[in-house]
Amino acid sequence: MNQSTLLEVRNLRKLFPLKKAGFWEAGDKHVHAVDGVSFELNRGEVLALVGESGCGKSTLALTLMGLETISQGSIVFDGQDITHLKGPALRTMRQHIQMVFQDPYESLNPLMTIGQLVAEPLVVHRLVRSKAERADRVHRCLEDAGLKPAEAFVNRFPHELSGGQRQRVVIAGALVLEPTILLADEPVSMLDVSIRAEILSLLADLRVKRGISILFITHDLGTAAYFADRVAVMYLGRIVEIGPTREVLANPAHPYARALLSVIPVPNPRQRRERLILRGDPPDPIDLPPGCRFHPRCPIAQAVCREQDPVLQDVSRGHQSACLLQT
Amino acid sequence: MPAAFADAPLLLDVRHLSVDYVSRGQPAAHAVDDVSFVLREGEILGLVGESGCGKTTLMLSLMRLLPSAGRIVAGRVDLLGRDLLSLSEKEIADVRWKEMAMIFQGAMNALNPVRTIGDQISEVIVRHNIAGNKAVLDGRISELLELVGIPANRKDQYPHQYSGGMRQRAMIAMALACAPLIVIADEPTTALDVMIQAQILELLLTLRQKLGLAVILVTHDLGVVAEICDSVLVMYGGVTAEYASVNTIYNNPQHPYTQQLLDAFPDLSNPSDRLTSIPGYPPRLDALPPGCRFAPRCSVAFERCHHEQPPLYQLSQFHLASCHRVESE
Amino acid sequence: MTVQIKVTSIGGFWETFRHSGIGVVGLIMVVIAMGLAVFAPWIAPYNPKTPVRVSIEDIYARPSSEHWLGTDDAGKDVLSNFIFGARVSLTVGFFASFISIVIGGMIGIVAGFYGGKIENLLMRLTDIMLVIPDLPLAVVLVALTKPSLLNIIFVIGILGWTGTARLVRSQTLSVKERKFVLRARAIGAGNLYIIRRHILPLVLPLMVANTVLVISLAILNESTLSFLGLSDPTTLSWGQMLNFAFTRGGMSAGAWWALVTPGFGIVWVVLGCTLLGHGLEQILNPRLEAHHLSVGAEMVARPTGPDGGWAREGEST
Repeated sequence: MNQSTLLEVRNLRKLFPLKKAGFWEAGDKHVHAVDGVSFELNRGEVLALVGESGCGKSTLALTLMGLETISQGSIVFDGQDITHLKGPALRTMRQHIQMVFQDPYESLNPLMTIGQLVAEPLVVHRLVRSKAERADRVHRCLEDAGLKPAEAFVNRFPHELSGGQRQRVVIAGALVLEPTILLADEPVSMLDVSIRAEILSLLADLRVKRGISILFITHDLGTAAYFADRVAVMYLGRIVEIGPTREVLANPAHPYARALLSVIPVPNPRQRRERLILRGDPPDPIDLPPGCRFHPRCPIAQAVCREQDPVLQDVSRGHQSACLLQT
Repeated sequence: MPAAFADAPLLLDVRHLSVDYVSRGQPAAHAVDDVSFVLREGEILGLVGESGCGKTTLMLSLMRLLPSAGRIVAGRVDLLGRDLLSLSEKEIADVRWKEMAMIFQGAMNALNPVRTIGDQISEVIVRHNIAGNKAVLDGRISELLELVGIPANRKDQYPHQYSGGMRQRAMIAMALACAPLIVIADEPTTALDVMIQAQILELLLTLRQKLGLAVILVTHDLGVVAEICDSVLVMYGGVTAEYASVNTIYNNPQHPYTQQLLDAFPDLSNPSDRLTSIPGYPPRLDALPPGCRFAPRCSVAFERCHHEQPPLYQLSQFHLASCHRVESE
Repeated sequence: MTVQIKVTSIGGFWETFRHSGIGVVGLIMVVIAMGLAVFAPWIAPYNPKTPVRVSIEDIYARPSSEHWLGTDDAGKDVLSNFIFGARVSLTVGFFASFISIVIGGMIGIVAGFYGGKIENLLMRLTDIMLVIPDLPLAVVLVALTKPSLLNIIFVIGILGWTGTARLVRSQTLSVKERKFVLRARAIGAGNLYIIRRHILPLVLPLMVANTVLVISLAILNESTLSFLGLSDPTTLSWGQMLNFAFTRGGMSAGAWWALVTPGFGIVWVVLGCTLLGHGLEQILNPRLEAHHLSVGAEMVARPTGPDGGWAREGEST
């Protein structure tokens, strides 16, 4: 772990035990939601975690937040092992890692005012002494999140705001604890295209102004490309490729990353190009295929892929991929 | 008109269509105002706009499926030379599904969970009494499923046994059940992952090729439009902002709204560009600005834009835009 | 700030409630009964507590100008008894249902929120309480304790919470899954805080609607117990009036007024509460309607059609 590493995840696994289907059936099957994920998040860095739904990226976020228990592996934050924190220690920990959720229509309690919602973390952690101090911090965070003037918003209810404004409220609520890491789980996928950019640039500004590290979880490699420093591509609970954004976009090493990249719509009809469309859906994370877990859908799979499970290997400096066939 | 389609037979001709929503004690809301477009055989038309710009209303009025408060106040909708707006309720019921079918937004999540997919497709066919006996019906269902890339032996499965992509395929099969000429797809790929989205778009292209199907694709995703559409109608606040071939829209957009919408879209082929967003919000349909509807959000609006609604200027044979700046150039 | 929420939501709530026919009828019926109970000393022509000299003609006397609804077995004015009886019936109704709602609400929220073994245990307990016939158990419990008003309230209260518990549990289960609860957890909020700030406010309206229905059940139970002679003989309730008329020769004397009057009171209040409860439930039960979560009208252009659902085009993107 070097100086600039803020969060280090080592071989993280999260298995959900499957309910017994029948009385006689053995109940030893598991859903392999996250199955051996390792990565580092550096200070002030934006790391995008890209994958299809069901690849385990949201579960990974919840385990990092301590909202799901961890089956195996470790999480080290700022030199401190936080894997098995419980109770008050975990709650203190949560001040450092905050989350922005996908659906701004659902993630705000409809009965609370914007002011109450943003102040909630301060109340929960008993961080402010006076009402004035609380109002001041709420005010500052709302303005930092681009809701200006803050007075116009504090006494309003979520249903009076648009989707983009609600997402700003969620971001303001995450900022009020002055976290060092922000987990953004698909923060723009529920918003209209015309306002996505402003939310993304708000997040980018926060990184510059406050030095926050952002783990940006998305299914859209296109948006990730715009603002992440590094990209990690997940497939069936594993990271199959990780590297600097430019490097991964220019030279994707894993066939899955290549396919994902090829199907991203490009808003230029002159550049309609060959798309690598994978057939079918990702296999079921309960009965994983033997060997490389991507081989049933892989366009270039060989016999060896059915037997050997690949590990991440260096492609170039800082760029790794888990494919047996890479050269 | 793109060259490939200029000679294709005209299927749908919509002229000056206007739709209002009326409710007690309030002024009528002009949801769609004077929209015209054509659709030729095998053409894929992209209908683009933000939430609430009237695109779903426009499509529902083509099918004459508007909710009770909706009124078609002006215009014509000609399908193969027949004015759909003058048909009786019984006649239009016959046109729906047999000539023009619709895949509703989010319908793939509204399948009846306790009935098999095959059963739900057969319901469509039986209701429009096309198939004769059981054997013909079964054959048709298998044929439809194969057409959309679902193995026929899965017709006796229930919706929960299907993945999201397969449910959307089943919805397409349902829309194709009566062999329509036109399929209207309202946000068919919105809730789907990129890979599944690519599969569905590829399926629409295959169907166009195999069946000569014309498709109206309602979406807010310009990337999807660029991938498969031939022509594009950009709507804003109920009016046509710009209507042109897909190449013109992307390479020579004239309306500031189209330009700004394109700038807001991440383009992987040119990732050094900075994304911009359009400030402000779309107008409320019952409180429209007096001049150009886009003027309050427009970065290049001038005096006239705030007072006078621009007409639709014809820029070339197939390029229409409603912006005062176009005229002055 | 809290006051503001209540004002806005109650304002909107009243606007909706005014248009529900049965709810308003129920409310009027309940308000009349409550008025009767509160202002009993001023409304009633006689005070039932004052001793009267009784001659044989005064027992079960027919309705007359002196006694509008006749007299009972002790020669007392039935109308006055009826008016004062409303006090006891409503008191028992309110307090017993309060106990039921508190127990049921707590069990429902705890079971729904914590889930797992706790939920299993509490829900089996609820099921057991639900299958035991209420009346025999109430009779046994009241018979074991001293028949007093307090005991009656207590017994009715601890027998009537099962329905509430099940309702609150199912509502808690759905609120618990909402994303804002996950957000609260991510912030670092504890269980008690989440229950207090996020679960309870969304479950409470349903509990209020349910209370009104539980009140009617409690009043009915009280009447039944009193009718069976298990209540404090010195308190005068409608059930007690029925009991006296029934056991002390009212039937054979043909004194229908002594039976019909308290019966009418019970039916009136129970019907009123039921109508009010259903009226409230139609507005407050989120499964019957999802209103306050729709998109802000002033921000997003939407057609003004009655069917707001489909008009949210593109929202789910």
